[in-house]
Amino acid sequence: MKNFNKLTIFLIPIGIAVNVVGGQLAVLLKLPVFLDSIGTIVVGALCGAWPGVLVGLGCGLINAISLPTLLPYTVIGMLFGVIASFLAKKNMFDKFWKALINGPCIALISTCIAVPITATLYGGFVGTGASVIVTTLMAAGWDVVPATFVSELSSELMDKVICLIIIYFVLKAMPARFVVKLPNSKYFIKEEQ
Amino acid sequence: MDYDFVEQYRKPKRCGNPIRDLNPMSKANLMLVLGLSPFIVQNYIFGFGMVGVFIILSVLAGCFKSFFSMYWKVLLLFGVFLFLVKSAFSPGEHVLFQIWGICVTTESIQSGLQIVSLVLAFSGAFILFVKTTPMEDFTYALEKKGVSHMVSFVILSSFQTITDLGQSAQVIMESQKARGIETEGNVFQRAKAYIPVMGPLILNAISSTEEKSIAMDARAFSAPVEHTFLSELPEVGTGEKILVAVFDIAFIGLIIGRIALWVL
Repeated sequence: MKNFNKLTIFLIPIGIAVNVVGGQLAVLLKLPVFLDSIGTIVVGALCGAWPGVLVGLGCGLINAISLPTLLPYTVIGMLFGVIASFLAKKNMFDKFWKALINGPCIALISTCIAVPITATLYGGFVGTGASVIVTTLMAAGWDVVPATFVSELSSELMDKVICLIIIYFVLKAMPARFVVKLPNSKYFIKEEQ
Repeated sequence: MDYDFVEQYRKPKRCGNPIRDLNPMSKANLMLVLGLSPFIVQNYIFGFGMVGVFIILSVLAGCFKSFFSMYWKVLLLFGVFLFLVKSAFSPGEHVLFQIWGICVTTESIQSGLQIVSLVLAFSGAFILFVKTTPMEDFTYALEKKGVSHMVSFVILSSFQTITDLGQSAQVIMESQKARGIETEGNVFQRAKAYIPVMGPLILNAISSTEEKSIAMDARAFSAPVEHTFLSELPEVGTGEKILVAVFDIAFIGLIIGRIALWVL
């Protein structure tokens, strides 16, 4: 915390708030996706892994206030920060088609962590619309892990692809004079030849 | 100048309710001990008993309304539906009734009650802690324990920023509606409204950070000195220390008992 760049420290609360408000907006517009990891990935990409992890942690804890059963999933949010920083270093945010690749990758990783949590802790029940898919598959004789995997992956895929497309446009629209002051700026700003 | 207003800052902050006046650290400690004890005891009657205890505690702390307004959602979602899912699909021997892949057995009902009691008890502890502890008191207690003031800033600022951004999201949405963006209609039409609201929201929030950082530094935010506080929390009394210690020792006793049962 001590050796963070000053702007980074101010960006962490904003990242958390963007996550929460983005999720609220998706609910308000009755969209079938969560869209509550935009802040984490933007901060992770611009400021590095640790700030991204902190945004994920804060967002997870704040979401848990309204539904404490979400606490175990905080780990996934923290991981997004690390992944985002890694993708930024690999220049994966500079072209639109790369956003379409990033989305499924992140969705797959988060599903692999979410499934054990959902299956072991809650027996496949998460309290969202995806639970309908799980219970239907299980009633048809599927085992709990594959049923959870299918439902989680389908909702995560849609969510993360849309998320990453939005993030691509947001990062594109960032003013360079601001980005240049952030730790990961060298991956976003090309030097003039 | 109102004399009472000034006077309230001259003594430590109290609200007169014994539960809410506990030190935030003691509350956090008690919450963990009480919320995790059902996981050690592994008995659903104890777990549901804990749920009752938390509801009674919220009444005693005088915040039953705000506590229950959040807790009932968890009770309904996880108390009812999670139980149904668990009891319908968990494996078991003594079949009560069976239809397609659904197979209700005495064991699956047991495991359903078990998991539901754990989830509900821990959720109750967590919500009760959040509802009885003002965040600024919690961060103050953390700073007293030697945590950096940056952490306090991030925590408190997050809550403030969520409120602020929520309001500006409303404003942006209204103005985009005035320009003819549809927020009703089919899924695609509604999805189209998301980026025109979210884009300006994020960029606005980020562009305000620079001014904020200058303003904060003008108020000695990063000055390398001891920080002062406007209001203080009361010193932790002996009675409170003993209370927390008793619960902690009981919890350690539970863990030892559980391990002993496994080993023997």
